[in-house]
Amino acid sequence: MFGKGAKRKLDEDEEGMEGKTLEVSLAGGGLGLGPECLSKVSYTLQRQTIFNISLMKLYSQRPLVEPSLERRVLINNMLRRIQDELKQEGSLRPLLLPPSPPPDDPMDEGFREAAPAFAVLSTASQSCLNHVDACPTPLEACLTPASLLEEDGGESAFCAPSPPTPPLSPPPVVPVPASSIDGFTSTLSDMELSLPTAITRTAAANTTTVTTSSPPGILLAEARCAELRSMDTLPVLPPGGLIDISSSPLSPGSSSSPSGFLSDLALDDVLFADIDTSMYDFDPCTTAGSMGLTAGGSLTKLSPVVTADDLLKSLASPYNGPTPQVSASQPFKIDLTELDHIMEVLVGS
Amino acid sequence: MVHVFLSLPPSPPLYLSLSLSPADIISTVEFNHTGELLATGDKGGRVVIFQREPESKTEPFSQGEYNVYSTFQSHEPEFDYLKSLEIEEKINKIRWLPQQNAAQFLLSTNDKTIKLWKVSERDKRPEGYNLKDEEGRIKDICTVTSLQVPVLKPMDLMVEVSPRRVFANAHTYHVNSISVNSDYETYMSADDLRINLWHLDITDRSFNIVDIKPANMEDLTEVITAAEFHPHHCNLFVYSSSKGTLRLCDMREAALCDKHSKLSDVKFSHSGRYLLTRDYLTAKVWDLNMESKPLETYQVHDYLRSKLCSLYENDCIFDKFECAWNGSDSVIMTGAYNNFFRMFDRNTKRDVTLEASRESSKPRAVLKPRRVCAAGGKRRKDDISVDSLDFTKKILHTAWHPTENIIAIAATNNLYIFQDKLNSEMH
Repeated sequence: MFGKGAKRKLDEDEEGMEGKTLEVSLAGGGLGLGPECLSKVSYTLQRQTIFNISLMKLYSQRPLVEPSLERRVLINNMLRRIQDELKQEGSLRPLLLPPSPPPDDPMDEGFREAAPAFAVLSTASQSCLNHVDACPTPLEACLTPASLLEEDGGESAFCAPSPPTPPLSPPPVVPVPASSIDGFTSTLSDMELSLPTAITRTAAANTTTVTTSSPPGILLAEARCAELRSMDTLPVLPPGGLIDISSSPLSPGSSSSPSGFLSDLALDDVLFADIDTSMYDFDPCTTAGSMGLTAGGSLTKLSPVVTADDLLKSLASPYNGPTPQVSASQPFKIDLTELDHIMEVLVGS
Repeated sequence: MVHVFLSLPPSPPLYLSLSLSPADIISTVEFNHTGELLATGDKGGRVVIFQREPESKTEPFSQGEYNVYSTFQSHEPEFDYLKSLEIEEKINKIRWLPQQNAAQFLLSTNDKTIKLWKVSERDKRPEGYNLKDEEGRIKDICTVTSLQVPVLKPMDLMVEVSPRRVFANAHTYHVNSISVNSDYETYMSADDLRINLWHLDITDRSFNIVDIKPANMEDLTEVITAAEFHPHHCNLFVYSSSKGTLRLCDMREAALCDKHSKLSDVKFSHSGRYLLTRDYLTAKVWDLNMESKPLETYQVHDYLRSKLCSLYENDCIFDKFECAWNGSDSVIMTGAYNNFFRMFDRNTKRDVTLEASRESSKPRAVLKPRRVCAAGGKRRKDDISVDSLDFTKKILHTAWHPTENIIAIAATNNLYIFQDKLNSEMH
């Protein structure tokens, strides 16, 4: 979480930072811009998406009945696997770090590792949105960078349509040789090539961008989760229920400890404590609690009921231009396996 | 060959499916050992037993029809005060005991408590008591002037279901399987982390035969997903895990199979030689004598590989599909999405996708094979594209008659019963 001194304005710094991060990360993959590079990026995106979905699943327990242990173990295994992978790729981290993290950064490893993917994601998705105009406004609202939530009372940040974000670059209709344009644009146009993947993950990434942050972020994640659930005809957690999670008697004060979140799950044992959740730093002592309340309340209205697939479909035709029918019946071929077939269906070895 | 299945009247709306209440969702289906009775359990804690009608002379096709025989409330919702959580009444499994006298017995379980039920018929009632009148009230002794011998008078058939045993307080986690041993005296119950062995007559004691709970729950990476006794050897049983491991146990523990993706179900073949497992995308047949790899692998819905992210997001990936053998162990059956279910003929290697729907299940209607065209694949007429599959319509529970080609398919709150065409024409 950013300290008070580290607050930033969206319109300049946010974009700049993400732009840089993207640039750096792509440069880090070699200037080749070849398919390996792209697939590496999309793999990272997929992995990050799955990581975030997994965390949300762990947090969005329906508290009425005892949650399924099997489901939790499977999600947990998934998280562990991804964390292991991230740890092994630790060497990449310096390259992908945000330019100037606050010196006393309370964020843990997980966040640092996670951050780059967020940055790439949100940049990619924002650029898509700007180019395509196919996304409903609420989606953009959801993409509001997490750092915004801490500013000016999260409520306004959420209720208002997302602040105007200057397009990163003019939409490159025809792929331009990298040499003719500065490096950044060319990376962008390359991002476009890998868009299928990026977009597929974008819907889930709505939550992605926000999950990392402050209390409102968590509420957003919860609200979004409820939306996901309602789509699946599971019982919907009412907004009030969401707020209960933060203020429930289950976590009186104890939640001020960074890793207190998992222990809030009604477990007879402290389960899965080795998944570091301090990135979901939760501090009810700050005013954010009440902020989150309103934000969470209004959010549920805003959150669009869009699945990754819906989004994929809605974005499919603009991108494939002349042959929309083909694209409709043939969803994007992701050159990567769907995150290795979701780790061969939930971390089978 | 893969059999042609006919809908068996009076299939839907054979089940009480007037309302679409979640309590009506069928959570388990099980034939008894002769196939004459079929029991379903639902989310509302009810058990419905269907009985196959005997053949009638006037209606040559009537044999095989299953009609409601008895309905009773097996489990009620409870509250776990220690955990402050509700214990759902949903019936997770039903197992019939082999019939030993006129009465039938079955075990039913929810997440925590297993119950033994006696199902018996009564078609006579005693009349003419000396000290009680017809309503059962004690007579004034002064009015009794003569003695008579009570007699049994025929009455309308009544099916009585009574609880015989309640096996409680032995499971900390959710019971996912029960299996009656071939010794007919014991059974086991498996939850996420432990398997207990019970004697059918003793409710206050059980023996823990498998415990995979780690000393430190942080180290937990695997849970038990299903367990079953060998059909003939009472010392053998198998259990499957979320990590895809099958363990064949004989009071010692030995790994049977190597690792694959999470298993949702395991079933011994009738012969006891093979094991059938179901994971999310495939069904596999294993030979007990070959633990290195499966004998056969069948793709149930491979086209979902490109959808797994969404299926993870909407929790479908955690769906627990069960699987079933036919009576001769030559065909296997398992469910899928969109009210589809799949059959694989082990000899001819042919497979078929069938649909359990109201349209296809008008009495005597022949089930038409369906085909899902994978994303990007060539689409034929009547093909269903992957994108239009309904993932809320899932067939998790299926059962195959122990000797005949009659199958029972639970599709959310509808029970469909289909019969092999050849089979029905013989009658």
